[in-house]
Amino acid sequence: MPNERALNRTAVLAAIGVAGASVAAAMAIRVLAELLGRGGGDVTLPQMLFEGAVIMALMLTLSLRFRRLQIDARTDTRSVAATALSKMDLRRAAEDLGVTRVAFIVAFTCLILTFQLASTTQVRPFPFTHWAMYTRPAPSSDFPQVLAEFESGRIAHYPFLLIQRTSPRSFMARFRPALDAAVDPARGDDERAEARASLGEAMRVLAAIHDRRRPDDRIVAMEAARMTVYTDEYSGPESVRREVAVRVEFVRR
Amino acid sequence: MSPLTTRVIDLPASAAALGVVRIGVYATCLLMLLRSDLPMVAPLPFEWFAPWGPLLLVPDAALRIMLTPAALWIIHLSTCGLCAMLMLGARPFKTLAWILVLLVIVHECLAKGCNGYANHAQLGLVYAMMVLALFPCADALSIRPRRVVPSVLHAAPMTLVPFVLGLTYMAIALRRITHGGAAIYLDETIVTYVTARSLEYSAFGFDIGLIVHEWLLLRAKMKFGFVMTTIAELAAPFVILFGWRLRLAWLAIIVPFHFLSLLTMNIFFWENVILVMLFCTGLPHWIAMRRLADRLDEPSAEIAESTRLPRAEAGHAAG
Repeated sequence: MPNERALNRTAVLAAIGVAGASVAAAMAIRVLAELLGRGGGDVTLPQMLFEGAVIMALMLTLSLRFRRLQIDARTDTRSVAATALSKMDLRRAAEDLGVTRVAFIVAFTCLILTFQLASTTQVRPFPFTHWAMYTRPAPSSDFPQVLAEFESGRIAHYPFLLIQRTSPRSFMARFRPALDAAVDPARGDDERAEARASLGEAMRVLAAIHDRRRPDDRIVAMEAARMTVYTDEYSGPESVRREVAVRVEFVRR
Repeated sequence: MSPLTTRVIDLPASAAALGVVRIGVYATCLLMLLRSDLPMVAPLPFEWFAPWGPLLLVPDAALRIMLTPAALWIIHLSTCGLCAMLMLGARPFKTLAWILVLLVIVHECLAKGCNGYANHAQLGLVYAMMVLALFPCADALSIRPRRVVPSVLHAAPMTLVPFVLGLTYMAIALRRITHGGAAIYLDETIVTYVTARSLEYSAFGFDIGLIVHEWLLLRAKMKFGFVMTTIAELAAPFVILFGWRLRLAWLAIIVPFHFLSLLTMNIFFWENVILVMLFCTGLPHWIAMRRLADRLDEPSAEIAESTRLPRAEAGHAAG
């Protein structure tokens, strides 16, 4: 009869070891890609290999927990891994939960990992989508700013919460390409003029939505700008550069 | 008892605890739906709409109809109504739960359709609902409870939901490690994010993050916290599977992380905080046990009724 506590400890060690090895392998692959000049934002092949390793690690962990391994707890981690790999079936779990549920959970796990790790913003899957939170080294320190001037004389951020309550920032991100194009000196005059026109049109739509909801203090002018923060030597508002892309004024009667 | 119940799930199966979980998850979903206020997107130009997920398959003409105020109100109210019904434990639970999952996905795709990207704050909740839809969650604490023997089907969601939630945390950490590498922990990456997020327009308006530029020690602590959070995220699914001590240590890192990211970056995944507290603290079992204890202390109306003499007999006895 195996010692449960020792077996649990060995299983934890095995799982952590495999997970750690997966991360190490992924890092090594990434470094190799960089050395071969294949580095950059999205390295497809290593990423896919990495996903495989992660999924294997998860399956191994699940199998260790789902099934009572008939081995002596004193056996070393290598034996645990070998036994788990050789007996990696979810038969008992399937008996308990039903085959459909187990199949769904396995597929669900794979979908979450695959889309979170491999998909990009070009494809638009949902609810399985890529989550890239704070993954870019040396990220850009610029962000959009949309200011509104009201009939009362108040100047404030346009209240995007009127349109998108759960994530106003993701709504504002929609204007980023036009905003960047409008202030980028490297773009041609035509392209910049087109971007400004499209931003101006968007400002008009936003102002109309605001005025319909809050007719007591209507918008008289709007301004869209790209803000760039100098984070290395930040000392207040003077460390932020403001490039106005477009200003739209509305005639009110 | 199978290994699944004795080893993976460390708390006893209980239909009442699963009922508490059902109420918690669907109440959170209802709150999220009411807060998102779908009909708000109606005045936006159709040209701004870029479909996500299943809506990619819907033709433009149908999308135009779906984006009319009347259709948005119908979708919004039916999603909220069904969510409230499931919170109360309406039957047939699994069928209704899957219909709600589909409705919530459509609701979210419509709400996020004019956004530059799909923010993930609500996805953990959608995944939790997908897992719950596989299990009999309406056996207790519902409008039509059933007398059932607690089984593995009542215990499994308690582990599977946090495991799936843990996977989402882990994938974020893996992507960060493989794409950002060690450099993002050593350079000013996190300081740049904090500064930009504190200065731009947001739903919360906190600018506390800017104090990292005044205190160097705080900046160092923030970088250390970034490393610790990544480790906690990476370990999430394993920790959730392996016992209470590890789980509590994980909570001690991840819950403050969520609140600190609110204060310093104006990002708050409140849905995830509720799910984590619901599934990783044993709260549903505690509430279920309290309820049981209360019932044992005071005889229920049914018992009182069954022990009382019938009216006629009582009158006869008195006469």
